[in-house]
Amino acid sequence: MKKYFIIIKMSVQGTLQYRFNFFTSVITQLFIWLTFVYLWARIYSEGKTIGDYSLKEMVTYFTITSFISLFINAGLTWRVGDEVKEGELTNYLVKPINYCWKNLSTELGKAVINIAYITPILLVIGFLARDYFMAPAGPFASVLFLGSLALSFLINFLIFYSIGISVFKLNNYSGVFFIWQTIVGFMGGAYIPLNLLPDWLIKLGDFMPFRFISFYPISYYLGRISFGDYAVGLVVAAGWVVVLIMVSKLIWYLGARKYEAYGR
Amino acid sequence: MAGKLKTLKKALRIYGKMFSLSAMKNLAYPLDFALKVVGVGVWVAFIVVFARIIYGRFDSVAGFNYEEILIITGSIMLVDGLAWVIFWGGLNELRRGVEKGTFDFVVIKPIDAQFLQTVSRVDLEDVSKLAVGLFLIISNLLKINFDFSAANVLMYVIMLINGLIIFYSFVVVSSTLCFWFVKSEGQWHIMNTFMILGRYPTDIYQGAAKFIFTFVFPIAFLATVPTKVLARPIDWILVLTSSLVAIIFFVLSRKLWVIGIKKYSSVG
Repeated sequence: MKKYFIIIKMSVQGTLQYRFNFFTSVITQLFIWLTFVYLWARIYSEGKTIGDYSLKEMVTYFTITSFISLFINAGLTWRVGDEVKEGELTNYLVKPINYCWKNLSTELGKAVINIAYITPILLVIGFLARDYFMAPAGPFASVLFLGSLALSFLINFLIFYSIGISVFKLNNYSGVFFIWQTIVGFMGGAYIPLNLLPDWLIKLGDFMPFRFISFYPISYYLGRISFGDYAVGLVVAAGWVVVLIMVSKLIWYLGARKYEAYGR
Repeated sequence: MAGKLKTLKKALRIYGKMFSLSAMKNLAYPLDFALKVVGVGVWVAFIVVFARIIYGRFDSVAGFNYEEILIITGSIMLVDGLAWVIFWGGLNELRRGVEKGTFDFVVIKPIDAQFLQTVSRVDLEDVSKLAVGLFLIISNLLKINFDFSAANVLMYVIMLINGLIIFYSFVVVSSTLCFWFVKSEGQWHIMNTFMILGRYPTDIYQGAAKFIFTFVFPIAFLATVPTKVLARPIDWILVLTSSLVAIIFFVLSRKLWVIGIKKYSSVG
């Protein structure tokens, strides 16, 4: 395990070194957040409502999805895809490390730093926009919410890691990546609460793991899901983690047999 | 005048060659290309579903009825699609070229480096955005209760070109950051955010935010202003402002490029 802690440490140092990218992500996400707050505020100020959500709930929902998207995102697909496509993968295959664990460690290192940066920003925003922001619904909600983000992180990681290594079978993965990024974002509840979608999309989403990335944790935070339902949801999410691990192992097994690194 | 016409012809010929090269490159891997087209299609479909869920249940939001909002959505798709087909991909590659030193091959050619970098990549799969965008605009324009004229359509096209020039200027500005910062991947986030924000009617903003999104980051001119000019009586102040903003940002971006390229030192 020690070697993976070293990778986490290296990832932390790398993220600290190149802060420009992270801060541009934060600033752009803030602009998007601000736009949504203006949009919701405008709609509600005109006496309209979106589903059965109050303005406070909508702003809180979108604030938290923005927060989640800064450390649970699809960026690793590009790195993994490029490493496979350009032959960099060979450097890891000849070392006594597991490629999946190596990537998980790298993403964990990034997430640790990103959370450390984002939390104070979020607290300031939460304070400034306190009239539009809801506190967690119950005494355990915040603790359980934070705990469940670990599962969100894992599900997201496994999905986009699997897409990254699918490059074994494709020459260019941007199309597949784009399809999945859109589906995962939308069906995960990153843009809009899932219960506002058309019925057929909601039913379709029930057969997918994406709702556990944003929608489920936030719904519990807002007190829209009972503890019992949430506990069941966590068990189902854990089941999805097992399924996704098997899928990623299968893709790796099929792809690694085809892998050739020319000139290396 | 004759000299300028010759330069324009040369530029168009080079873009034509780049377009053919990209087409050949894409069609060499038909499965990958098909997946890219499907990827864009899925993205476009979700944007339309999103607009329907949010705005479809109301008569109007911020003074825009549902049809006008879908025209804004269609217009931003046109700007987005044209940006990818003409310049966005090429300018995105600049960072990688500067990092790896391959930008040398652009600089040494007897053509303006900014132009060559701009047209160096054509993302053909994004043509599907143009098709969906046009469909959204035409189908909703026919539904609204406004007797538009040829002047509206002409001004709309000019406003859209202005929007494209403004967006291009910002892509150039954000791309030139790589001459100063070694790892400037974040520039893509900045420009993608421009496109995301452009999907919403900018009349939702009030106070300082309205000023910022009109003059500092002039997102209003990408899709909201063109839609107003197309679906309402022409507001000539908007037309004039849009043209002025486009000229100012284009000139400033060119100046920044000239300063930035002097900072470039090859790695190889």
